[in-house]
Amino acid sequence: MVIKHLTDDEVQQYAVDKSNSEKRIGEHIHLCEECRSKVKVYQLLITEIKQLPQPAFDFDLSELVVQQLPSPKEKTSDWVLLWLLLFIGVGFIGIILYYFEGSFVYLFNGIAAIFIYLMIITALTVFTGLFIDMYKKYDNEMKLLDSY
Amino acid sequence: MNNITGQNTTDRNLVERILKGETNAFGIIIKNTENLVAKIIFDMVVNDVDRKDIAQDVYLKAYQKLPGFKFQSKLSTWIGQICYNTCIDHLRKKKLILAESIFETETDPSNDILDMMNTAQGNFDEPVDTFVIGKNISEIVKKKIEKLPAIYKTLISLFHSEELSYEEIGAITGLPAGTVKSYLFRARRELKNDLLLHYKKEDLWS
Repeated sequence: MVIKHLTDDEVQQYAVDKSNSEKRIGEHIHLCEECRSKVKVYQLLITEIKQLPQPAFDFDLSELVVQQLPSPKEKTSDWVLLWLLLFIGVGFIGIILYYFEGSFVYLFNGIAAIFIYLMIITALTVFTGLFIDMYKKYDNEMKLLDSY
Repeated sequence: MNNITGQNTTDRNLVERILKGETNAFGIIIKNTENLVAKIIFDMVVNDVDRKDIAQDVYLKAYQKLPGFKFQSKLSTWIGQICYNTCIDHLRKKKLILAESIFETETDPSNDILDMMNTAQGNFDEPVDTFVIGKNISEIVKKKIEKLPAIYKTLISLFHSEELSYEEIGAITGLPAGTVKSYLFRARRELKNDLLLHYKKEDLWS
């Protein structure tokens, strides 16, 4: 009589999670001493693994990490700085316009509208490019600092 | 610190509190996930000093990335993922290879240790555990697990000790659930084979 034993994976599956094993596997194990003994070995192994001592840090990780976290004030300081820069920028442009308004009108008087648009578009493109580049550099430097 | 239990506080509430600037709430998250992080680090990194540095690094990274966490997985799984990746980066920096060779050099599956034992017993009636008198099963299992490659050690630990599902382990390690399952089968087979090299199978449960 030829007995086809279960594969090792089937034996393991039964040992790990009997309830999710195929019915035929359970039936075979019930009848086959050889496969039943293999299941027992795996079950013993799993029990041993579960009983192994759990690793733990010998220091207070929570305290160690929390004291290194940046305070909430530091986080909001970015926004304060941004608003301050914006305020200074708007103020600066306002002062220029107030004192040199006449000159500006004279400056653009003799130029065709298309050239003015061209200048504005060029200036905006250059500033956008510079801003993106500056932000990328800033971001990279921050990442570099964070990696230490 | 003892009054912070966090047992009744959901992850979402904790994250919201931290994002509002309550850094102490992050301590609760650390306490809640420390065991998982310890398991991964202890399985993957040998040096104690490195373990301490990596543990801190994991949580500092998690804190930094917290605004981007969208609750698509459990917070613990997400932190486990950061931990696993940090360990992998560490091993790469140290040029420690995550050897899978232990399984690549695996012998022919038909050459099963059980068969070898049965043959040996049938022919020579020789006990196979004579050279390990005094050693207990736990010690053998522990030593063998320590010898497994880092990835397999971690999988065994996450599945059997932490009782995570294949999917959760897959999310942490970046491996497909099927691969996790397959690696676990291999790792357990290695452990079983090693156990049977030291003990007769009938002695294991007698």
